Amino acid sequence: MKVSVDMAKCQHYGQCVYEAPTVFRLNNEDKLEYLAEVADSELERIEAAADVCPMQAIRFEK
Amino acid sequence: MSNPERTLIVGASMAGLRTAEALDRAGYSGEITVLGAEPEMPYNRPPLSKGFLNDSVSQSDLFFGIKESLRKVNWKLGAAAFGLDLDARTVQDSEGNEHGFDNLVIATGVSPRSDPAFRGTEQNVYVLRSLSDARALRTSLVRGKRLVIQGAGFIGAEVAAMAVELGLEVALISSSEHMLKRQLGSFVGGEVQRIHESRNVRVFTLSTVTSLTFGSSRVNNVVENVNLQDGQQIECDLFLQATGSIPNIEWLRTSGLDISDGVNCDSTLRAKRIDGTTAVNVFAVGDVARFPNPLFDQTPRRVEQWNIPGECARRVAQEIQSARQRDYPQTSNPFAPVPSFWSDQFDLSLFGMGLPALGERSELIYANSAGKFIVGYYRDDTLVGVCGNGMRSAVQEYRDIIGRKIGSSRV
Repeated sequence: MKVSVDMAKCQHYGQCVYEAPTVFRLNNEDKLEYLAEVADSELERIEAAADVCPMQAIRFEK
Repeated sequence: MSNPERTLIVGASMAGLRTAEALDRAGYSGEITVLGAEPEMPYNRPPLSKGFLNDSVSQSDLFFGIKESLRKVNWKLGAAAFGLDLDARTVQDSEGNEHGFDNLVIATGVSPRSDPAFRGTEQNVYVLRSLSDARALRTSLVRGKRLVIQGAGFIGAEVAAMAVELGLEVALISSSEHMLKRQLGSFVGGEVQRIHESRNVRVFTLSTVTSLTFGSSRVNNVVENVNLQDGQQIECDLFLQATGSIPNIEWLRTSGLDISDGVNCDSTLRAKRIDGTTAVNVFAVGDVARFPNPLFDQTPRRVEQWNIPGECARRVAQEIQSARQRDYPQTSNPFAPVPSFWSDQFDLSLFGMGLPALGERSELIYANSAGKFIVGYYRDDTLVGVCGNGMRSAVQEYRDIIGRKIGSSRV
């Protein structure tokens, strides 16, 4: 599945990191980095990450 | 033909929405109705005291996307819940309608606390909780105006910062020794205040508002001065009351539920009655839910923090669905979420976990010359919270040890 983050909205809070640590991380400058293509089995975690994003910046499609 | 099971969610903000989503995700096949007092579909509140005020977040950005699979949900908006009959298993709304349920999820949130002496038809007195409140405030935040804010917690501090950036003169009135003292302690609160004062926010500490003075014609209902207990008068064009929240439980007053500070719940988020028994298939989620968190102790508390509605929603959906579906994964673990919170004010980028306000002492874990820091909050030897400025990934690493005993050389 494809994951995308609207970087104009992203404020790098990193709440997504806890929900889906294999997909999202904050780098050394505390800026978000993420995998744009992940296994479908990550759906539940990606949904949880999208829900918890304070800026609602995460989109995904199977 | 048997009637399908019905789940009624009372409250159509984030907690109510996440509950509907979690039920759907869990495969719930009953009917879901969401009753909401506000006329809008669920929207995101945190930007109301931040980006929405300076137009960096638009109104359309605020609304949560509604998934296709939620189209089957009955949204009943613009009708406030008025009463609950636990025996008949119905909720009455302000329009006179009755909603029957098999499962009830209370998600009615909180309202801003405001001094009734200051309420009325004043033109320039504001509170900030709803989109409607935020629109009124945003329109009034005009360069050069004098904004007085009662309350120096998160909302007060965030609006103060936004208003300064919009060119207003801002005065902040705190009943504590300094800003955010109760919430984040002396070091962080002191830093917050130092930064606000460096940006010309006038901060009045250990101060309370005793009265308001109106313009020469009382008919105009325009507040001109905010008067403090020591006799100081602060001229204002706009007056914002940001003195905390009260849970929306008036509608439950005759229901038999224990509504001492929100809906009192057990460790599975089931609502308790005044007599101490658990109400059958009645749950509470989000800001209105008072629950014990075994990470800290057995004292039930309401936690008005960002990730709590979603965490509650997931647990309640699990409870509801596991009662219906034999093989649905159940948990006997008590509900134990790690709360997380953040606040952006000027260059401060605060981010934290846990409940710092429970701490009896705090310790500066890290600080650098760029003003970044991490503070730990402890009760006995237990880490109850952590808060950092601009150290988000480092703060995240403390998440799994919130509520754990920390060994140290201290006795």
